[in-house]
Amino acid sequence: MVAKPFVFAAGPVVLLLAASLPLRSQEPASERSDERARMVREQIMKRGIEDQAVLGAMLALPRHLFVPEAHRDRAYGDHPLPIGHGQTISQPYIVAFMTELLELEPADHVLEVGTGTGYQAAVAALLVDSVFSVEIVPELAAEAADRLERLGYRDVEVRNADGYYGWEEHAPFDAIFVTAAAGHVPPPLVQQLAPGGRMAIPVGGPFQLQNLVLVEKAADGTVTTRSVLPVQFVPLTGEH
Amino acid sequence: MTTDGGRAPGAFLAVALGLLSAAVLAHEVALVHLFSILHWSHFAALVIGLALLGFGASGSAVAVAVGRAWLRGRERPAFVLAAALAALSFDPSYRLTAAVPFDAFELIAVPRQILYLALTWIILGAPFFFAGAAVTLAFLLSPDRIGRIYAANLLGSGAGSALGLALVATLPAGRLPAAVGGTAGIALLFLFPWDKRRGTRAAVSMAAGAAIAIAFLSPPPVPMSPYKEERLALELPNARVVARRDGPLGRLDLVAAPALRYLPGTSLALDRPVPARPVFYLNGGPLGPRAEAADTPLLRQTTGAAAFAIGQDAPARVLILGLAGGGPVLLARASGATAITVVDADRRIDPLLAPGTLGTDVRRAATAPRAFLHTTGERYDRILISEMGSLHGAAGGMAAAGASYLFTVQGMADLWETLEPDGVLAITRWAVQPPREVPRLLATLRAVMDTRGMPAASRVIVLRGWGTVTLLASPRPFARREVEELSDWAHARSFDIAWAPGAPAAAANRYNVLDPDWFRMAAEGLLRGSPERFLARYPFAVDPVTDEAPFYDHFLPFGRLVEVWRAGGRLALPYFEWGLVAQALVVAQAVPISALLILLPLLLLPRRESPGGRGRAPRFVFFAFFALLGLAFMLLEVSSIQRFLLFLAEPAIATAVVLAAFLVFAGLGSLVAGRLEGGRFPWLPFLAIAVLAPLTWLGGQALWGRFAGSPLAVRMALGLALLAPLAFCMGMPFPLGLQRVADREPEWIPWYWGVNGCLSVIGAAAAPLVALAVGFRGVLFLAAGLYLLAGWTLRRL
Repeated sequence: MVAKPFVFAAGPVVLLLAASLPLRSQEPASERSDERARMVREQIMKRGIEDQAVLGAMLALPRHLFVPEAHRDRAYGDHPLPIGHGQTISQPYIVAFMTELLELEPADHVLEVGTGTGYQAAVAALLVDSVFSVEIVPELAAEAADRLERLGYRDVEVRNADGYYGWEEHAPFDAIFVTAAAGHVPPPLVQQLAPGGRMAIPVGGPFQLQNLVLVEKAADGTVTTRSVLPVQFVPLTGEH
Repeated sequence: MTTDGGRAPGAFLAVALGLLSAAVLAHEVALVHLFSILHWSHFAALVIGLALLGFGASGSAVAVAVGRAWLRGRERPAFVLAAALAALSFDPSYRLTAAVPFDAFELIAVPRQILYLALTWIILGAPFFFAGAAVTLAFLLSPDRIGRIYAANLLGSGAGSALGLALVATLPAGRLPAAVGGTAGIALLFLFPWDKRRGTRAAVSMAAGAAIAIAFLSPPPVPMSPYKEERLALELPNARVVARRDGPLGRLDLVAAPALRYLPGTSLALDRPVPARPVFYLNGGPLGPRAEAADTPLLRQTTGAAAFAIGQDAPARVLILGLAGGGPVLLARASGATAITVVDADRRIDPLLAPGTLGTDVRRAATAPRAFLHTTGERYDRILISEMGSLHGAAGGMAAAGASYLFTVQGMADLWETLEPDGVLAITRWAVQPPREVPRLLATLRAVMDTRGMPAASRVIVLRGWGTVTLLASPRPFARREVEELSDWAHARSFDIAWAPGAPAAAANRYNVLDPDWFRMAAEGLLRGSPERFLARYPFAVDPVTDEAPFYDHFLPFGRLVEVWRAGGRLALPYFEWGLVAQALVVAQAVPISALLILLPLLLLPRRESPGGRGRAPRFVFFAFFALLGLAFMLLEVSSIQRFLLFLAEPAIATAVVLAAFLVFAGLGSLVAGRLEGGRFPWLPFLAIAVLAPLTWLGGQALWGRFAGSPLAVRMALGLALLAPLAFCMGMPFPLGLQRVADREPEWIPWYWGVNGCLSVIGAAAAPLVALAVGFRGVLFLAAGLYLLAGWTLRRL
């Protein structure tokens, strides 16, 4: 367990980092910033997330703007929320955990499978220059593209397609987020992972115990997985 | 049909009451079916368990109404009204429930879901409340015929369990509540000749019939939880249900979508996409894809295919437990099997499989795997148990609080006896961490091999991919050469050999890295070392389970639950066993609600002396008597359902047979109970129950040993015959006690009925928990003890 003094000590650093991140949203940065700070402090840092850039992104990004109006009051709660079409926006900690896991560098080429409302893509976009996101549900894809455009995340490209096949034209990717629970690792995604690349993917059925798995492709093309976190991911679309 | 000056003819009243009771039981069966589709079966148990408190509430309400003289002279119209409201509320209560935005999945995160849950069970409880009130009022109407009324109630209920099954087997799920309402509506017809206002009654009954008919013709939707896998699949673009079959085994759907690909456990080295295939779902959970012959190369890239990558010769005779979508059959055929036996209780899948899957080389057995194993007498080169969840789905999905007999020590021994001396058993499971099933399976294999003097370390292989684990076990030691060949096979697929005789530890954690490597730890601790040490230190309870307490899916005793919560908080939620938690929640909520329902009438009723001027003791003794009966009856009934699951193989059949036996024969027993009243031996039934309960248990053992392979009809008849004497005796105590209440202070009948109802709910919910703690034998002795105690209290009544 992380001692409280660490949390308080780290708080100002994170705030400084957050302030240094490009503010792309047209919403005032201060809106619900207290709730965000509490979310970062109590849900994310306490559970061991240390990457300052990730913490800064989580602090800067107005999560409530990615949550349907009906659930906006609970946008900073420690849980996933429904976004329609049987889908959810992941729990904040999971978003932070997956982002930290992929060790993103600014020049990385990132693919996300399962755009949802675009929140995870927006977090990634605060850390890298190019994010490609695929969403199979047309309505969600259109809404997310519109939302990201409106909020100023123009480096995120959203496409309505079956994420199982990745995004061939922009491959290879240095990092791939798969936000949908899967029964197997889609071979096209493994093929589109660059040597040295990393992919985070949850495995298991809904309402079952699931593991978050990190897939790594070595420079010689050897693929290995590492199970990093038993987690109850709220399942997203797809039976992949 | 005649009337006798306004008095209800006993026969008509009894028939009406029997039909109403049948409707109530049928409604229970229908709700279990509906809620297993809507949510999950353990939530079905939770909601319905609480709804049944409607019975208790009815007793309290009628007790107050009688005590306050609100019903004086109006008992008969009140009875008709209660029966009519029950008949009319079955369908609307389900429709209203489906409209409440309750979502079991959000129960943990969204506080208002608790309110929705409460609202759900209150609405669902309405028909039970009205039906319970009708039964109570029937007792009041015929205080001189208590045994007869109670018999009608029990006999009707017994018939209702069979009726419920028949309705579930023949009707779409949405039509069930209206059909049940129709059954109750027929009960109203028998009340026409009751008195002079038969015209009015006829009009009311016909209006009720019309309402029920309209409800039947426009069935409500059965909206599946948005978090079920099937619902998620249906969210995919252009997804559709290709085929749907409702029935006692659950709702079987075949769903197709251009983006639906389901093949758990495939290799990381797979070089081509998995093609879209329709997927079978049982109550919303996946059974497997409808495999085609062209999929064989893909199926060979799964950990389960290791069963055919080991051994020198192609296995000729293959046994597959769990048909899934036919994939294991295609894999076995492509691997050289010439005789394939498939055991799966659900025949509905067969015609929906890809053409040619069940060819002439396939023998099909539609029974539970354990019953087949126990009786086959044949031996196989390979036994495959490969589809995660499918067997449990077929077994009713009761998870932690449910009985599952395939992987008990005795079940594993049956598997062992079905293997050729050089055969291989292959079991595939999800690679969850920390693992729970895999260590339990290893511990069970170790126990079975120990009793045969076989060192387990050289006879087991644990192979894992990124998502699944496959255990291979054989009565013979695996040779070094075949382990090396298997290692090459695994290497080509990026699978790790977590354990194999002679395989280096360094190879155990190469492609799918775990920290710690739980599977290696479990294999080392359970196969090579002293299993006791490992079992004592492991965070979950993974000891082998036995037929005596076959709770294979129970890994987290209550004592460790708090520890796990402290360690992981919300992230630990996946480890919680929701079936068990739900069961405990029923008890936790039923106890205070029951206390309220029991105490409230005491506060609202005018204070009166206990009968006989002997202070309050007699009334308390009456209370204890009916409370003990409620608890003990349900403890025996519910544990018998779980126990008979082994012999009768199917949960739906076991439930129907046990309920029918307990209710029908108890009904007959209650008919003759009156003859004991006033005699010298009123305690005789109590003593008989205490003697017959263990004898019935022993009889069950004998039946399993000698008749497990008999046709289902024979087994059902034997089950009924075995339970009959015990159930017959169990029907006597309640009317004996109630008759004494009727003799002294009949206005208290409703209250004691409510007490009995409330404690029945608690007993039913507690039975699986008690069985978890002390096994079925413990439940049996506890119930027998409670009956003896009740017999002792009868002496004071």
